[in-house]
Amino acid sequence: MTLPLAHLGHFLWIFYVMPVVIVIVGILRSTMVERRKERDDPTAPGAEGGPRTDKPARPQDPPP
Amino acid sequence: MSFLPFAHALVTRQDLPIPAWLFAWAASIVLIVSFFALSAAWRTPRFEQEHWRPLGAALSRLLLGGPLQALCGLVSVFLLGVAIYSGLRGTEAPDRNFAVTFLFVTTWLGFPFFSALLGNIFRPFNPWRAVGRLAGSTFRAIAGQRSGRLAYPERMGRWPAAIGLLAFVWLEVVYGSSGGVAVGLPPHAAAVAALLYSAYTLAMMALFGVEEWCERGEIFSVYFGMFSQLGAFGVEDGRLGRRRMLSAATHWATIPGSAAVVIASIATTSFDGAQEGAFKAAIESVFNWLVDRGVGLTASLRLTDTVFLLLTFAGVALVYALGVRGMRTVRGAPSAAKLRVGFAHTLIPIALAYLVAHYFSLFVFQEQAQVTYLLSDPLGTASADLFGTASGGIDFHVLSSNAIWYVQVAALVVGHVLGLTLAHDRALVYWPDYRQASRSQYWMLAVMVAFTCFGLYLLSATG
Repeated sequence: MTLPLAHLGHFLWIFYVMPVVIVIVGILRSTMVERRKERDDPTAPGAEGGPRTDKPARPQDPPP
Repeated sequence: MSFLPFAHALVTRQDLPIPAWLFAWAASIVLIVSFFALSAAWRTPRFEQEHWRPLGAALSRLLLGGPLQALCGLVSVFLLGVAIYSGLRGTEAPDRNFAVTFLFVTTWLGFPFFSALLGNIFRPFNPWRAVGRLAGSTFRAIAGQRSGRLAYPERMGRWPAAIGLLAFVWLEVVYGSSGGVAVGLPPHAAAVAALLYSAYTLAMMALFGVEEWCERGEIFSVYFGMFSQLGAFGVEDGRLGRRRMLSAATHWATIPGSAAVVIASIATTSFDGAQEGAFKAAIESVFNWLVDRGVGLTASLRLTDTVFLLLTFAGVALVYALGVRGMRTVRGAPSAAKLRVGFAHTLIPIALAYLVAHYFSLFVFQEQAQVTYLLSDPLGTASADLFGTASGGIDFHVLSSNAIWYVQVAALVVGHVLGLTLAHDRALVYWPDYRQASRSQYWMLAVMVAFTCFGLYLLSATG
């Protein structure tokens, strides 16, 4: 039996779009994770109010 | 795979070890790995300074001296004259006439390839610059003063070159493909276009100055000069020198309209590749729709192709704009306008990669014709055999279809990795924190992966 694949060639473009979609989904997901992390911990590196250099964030001094 | 009934199969390279689309996946993985390697190991900008070092003074004097410049100018004016004469007086068969191959293959493809390797070699070979400088010198000698000229409008930037680039490719792939001959632009039309462009360019040079127009408005100087920014050789203060590769490109796009030039370059190559492949069905649909509404056949074809050429330009610009918009979401980002200008040079290696991938086999094949029968019989009328090579031909076995494919894939991957590297380097200038810089480049990674997959799709669809 011959499979009905006569026009399969028309859909090969999907295989070329998939890497782009995977990268975009990965970017969106990592952006959301980083934003959530910044919201939860504003002192995290790169977060607003947090350290802006490439040094790791120092732990907060314990309250007196 | 041969038992599958692909009635309209796009898979034409059945001797490849893996399906063509898997190369797109492999190329994407290479880009992603490169991105993480850059993020981890590249923490300070390295391309902002050119590290220019002069070469020997004698070599500079020889290559940049008046006699050699005059000789190059003379040769280029002579060859342009031969091309125009061949076009006007020679055969109407584009493949037998010197004009079309010389203008659209030897010059149009040869200069970008060699400029990227050797620097701005078109500058001494620019026939209009040679004529313009000679005219300026003659005027000074007779009148005893420099000719008056207008100040070039700053906002116009390189827009004349960008529009001209689209027009030049339109002439070849839209007007040429529907001009009444089987393949290619009629030589007579190419010659007339060359004459009109010469008159326009010389007039603009008279208005704004030779060097000013070459830097911003003259299509070929701007286009070939763009690729020369990638190379290791350049001229500074009248001396030839070596610099860090890619570094000169970081300052190229500061003139308005530069982004449009590089986007036009990618778009025109993409359209040329897609016209007979990826876009073929869509072009046919629009063409049939126009014909059904009573528009003439030639007009319908030209109109459809023009619309698709412009849509391709808009599509490439949109992908780049999305990348810029993505970068804007990262904290500390400069304005969108600054990002658009600041990252435009990262597309230059991609433009070159597209050019190599799409045309290098054409260049290899057509140059065999150029240096044999076209040179010996420029008119193509079998009336001359100047160098005894008029009976020569093209050896299509020089390159196998697999070799062409592997070169295409390699060119696209290398071009996009270089683009990614330039983008990462520029991001480190705008975001001093390397983590923020890397985060901003997520979107440029997506742009690069999109351009790579699109390029490979076009090539695989064309076959």
